[in-house]
Amino acid sequence: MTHDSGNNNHDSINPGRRRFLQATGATTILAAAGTVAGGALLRTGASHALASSARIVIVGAGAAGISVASRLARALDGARITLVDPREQHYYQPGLTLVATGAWQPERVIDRNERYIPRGVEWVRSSVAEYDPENDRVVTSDGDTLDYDYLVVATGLQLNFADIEGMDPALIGQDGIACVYDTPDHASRSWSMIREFTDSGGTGLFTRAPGALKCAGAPLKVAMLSEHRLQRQGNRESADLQYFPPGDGMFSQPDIDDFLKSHFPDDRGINLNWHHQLKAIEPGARQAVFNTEDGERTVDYDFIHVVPPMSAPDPVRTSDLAWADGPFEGWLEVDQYTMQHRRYPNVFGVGDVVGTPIGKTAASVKAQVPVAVENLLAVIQDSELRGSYNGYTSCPLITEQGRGILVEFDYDLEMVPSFNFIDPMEEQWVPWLMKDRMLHAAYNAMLRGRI
Amino acid sequence: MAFSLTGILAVLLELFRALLVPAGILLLAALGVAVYVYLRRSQFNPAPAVKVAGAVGALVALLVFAMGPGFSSASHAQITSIVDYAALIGASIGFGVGAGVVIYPFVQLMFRRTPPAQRAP
Ligand SMILES: Cc1cc2nc3c(=O)[nH]c(=O)nc-3n(C[C@H](O)[C@H](O)[C@H](O)COP(=O)(O)OP(=O)(O)OC[C@H]3O[C@@H](n4cnc5c(N)ncnc54)[C@H](O)[C@@H]3O)c2cc1C
Repeated sequence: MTHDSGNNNHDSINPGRRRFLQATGATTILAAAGTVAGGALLRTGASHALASSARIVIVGAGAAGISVASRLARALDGARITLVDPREQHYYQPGLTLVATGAWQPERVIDRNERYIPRGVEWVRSSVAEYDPENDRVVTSDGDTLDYDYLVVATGLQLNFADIEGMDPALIGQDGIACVYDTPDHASRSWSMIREFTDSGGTGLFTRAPGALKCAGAPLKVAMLSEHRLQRQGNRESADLQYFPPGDGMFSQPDIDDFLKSHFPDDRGINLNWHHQLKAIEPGARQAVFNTEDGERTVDYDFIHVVPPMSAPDPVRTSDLAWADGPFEGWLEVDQYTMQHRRYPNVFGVGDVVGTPIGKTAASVKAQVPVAVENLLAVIQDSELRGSYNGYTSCPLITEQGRGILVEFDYDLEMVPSFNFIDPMEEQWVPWLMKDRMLHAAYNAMLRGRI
Repeated sequence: MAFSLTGILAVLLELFRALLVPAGILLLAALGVAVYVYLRRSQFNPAPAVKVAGAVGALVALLVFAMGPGFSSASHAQITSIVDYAALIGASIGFGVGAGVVIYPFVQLMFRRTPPAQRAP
């Protein structure tokens, strides 16, 4: 399938340089073909690679950025690939839910970016403060300018704790406040709060911010895993659990939404409070204020799981690369199938930063990256874009420590199970086993560009 | 999302990355001993060695079956579906057979044929 983003209003590569890049690409394909035809017995990686002197800047060395770098480093010979990210540590974020609920130690999710960044890729330890797509350059927070021929934006997203009055990430781990998102430190401080609450009981509030979230299943998992620990502690009767969806749905996939709407109240005794958006928190008084359809509502708590609103990082959000309006306003404006920017054809986006209908998971990254790389290589060679992302996303929805359901779906919200024999509607041990033992390995293989 | 064979191998490689060197050494040693045993097969008595290796394999399979759920912080009560049982039994058989096969060459070294009694001249 091919897609036309309808976006060729900006030929951002200097035409002379572009012709040169295309010519070197074509020459290499001919040369490679000649080598093979000449009977070369040993074909090295380089003979498969496309020779190009393109300057490619990848912003963000998270799940998506490193995967792109790994694939491009193998696919291109002679290109100058630069990865920009100030962070030395690499967090395996899908493991944070397990850290926050006591199943994993935080060390298990902390790795080093340097282990995965392929040889030959230059790593600039700085953050991008400004995007200038008209002039094909980015400016770092150190004031350095990086010129590029092609740009891949993979900065993930930003947590906007400040949108909740009285909330500050420093509060996580105090006064009953937990938040599974972002860092292993937040997760382990959250575990101390969840442990305290599930040991002593009381009123537990589980919130969910409106809008797009990374791993939108995480707030649900935290609620269910906390409830399960209360049961295991023999403390279930001493706790009142309340879940606060911001609208009238719990999950974007309709079958799972239906399941959860009955599972929470009927099977788990977790009360649902529709149309509640956390507006403010008063840590000392242990009170949360929600905006509801009927005005503000203040609720007392002993424990609260706070899920902050999320957005694209400010440098993207305020740049010309972002959607100016519409449902994805502020997120990176890419074509949802090709991952190519809709107005700047030499810019691609992958991961949580993109404004697409669904897909803020590492599983989506796994599906998006090969598409973005294939299409970027096509742009380098001035050929047709053939890669197409179908919106694949996945969430091992952990319902208790030891069991879960493996939910995989696409843009049509149709279930697209990788393993047909695993029923996506049945709680089983195997999805938990995958989450606990297999998916981290799959994630690392993805970073190395192998899957 | 389809996984290719190379993709599955890449995941397994990552899964066992920390164990690759010791596992590789063990496998090479087993292979070396197996070749040694094969070349001098007339000196060895395979039947008791196969029985011992089989018993070790069965023991490992039983252990995996008993401890598999706990290894993932789950319990046997949480194994409920056919897929769960198939995975647990499959893993038990796989580890059992693997253990039996790897240990067999070493066990075989312990079971040599007794040389025929010397005939009186
Ligand atoms: C609690 C939790 C549970 C999750 N569970 C699952 C799950 O079960 N399954 C699943 O598939 N996914 C899950 N996810 C989601 C998954 O982790 C993300 O979707 C994935 O990490 C997105 O990858 P990314 O590269 O887009 O962003 P990230 O991995 O967040 O990486 C972004 C990188 O960009 C860098 N960066 C940011 N701004 C700049 C800048 N201006 N300049 C330079 N660098 C910058 C950051 O330092 C970071 O290294 C979970 C996430 C969380 C938080």
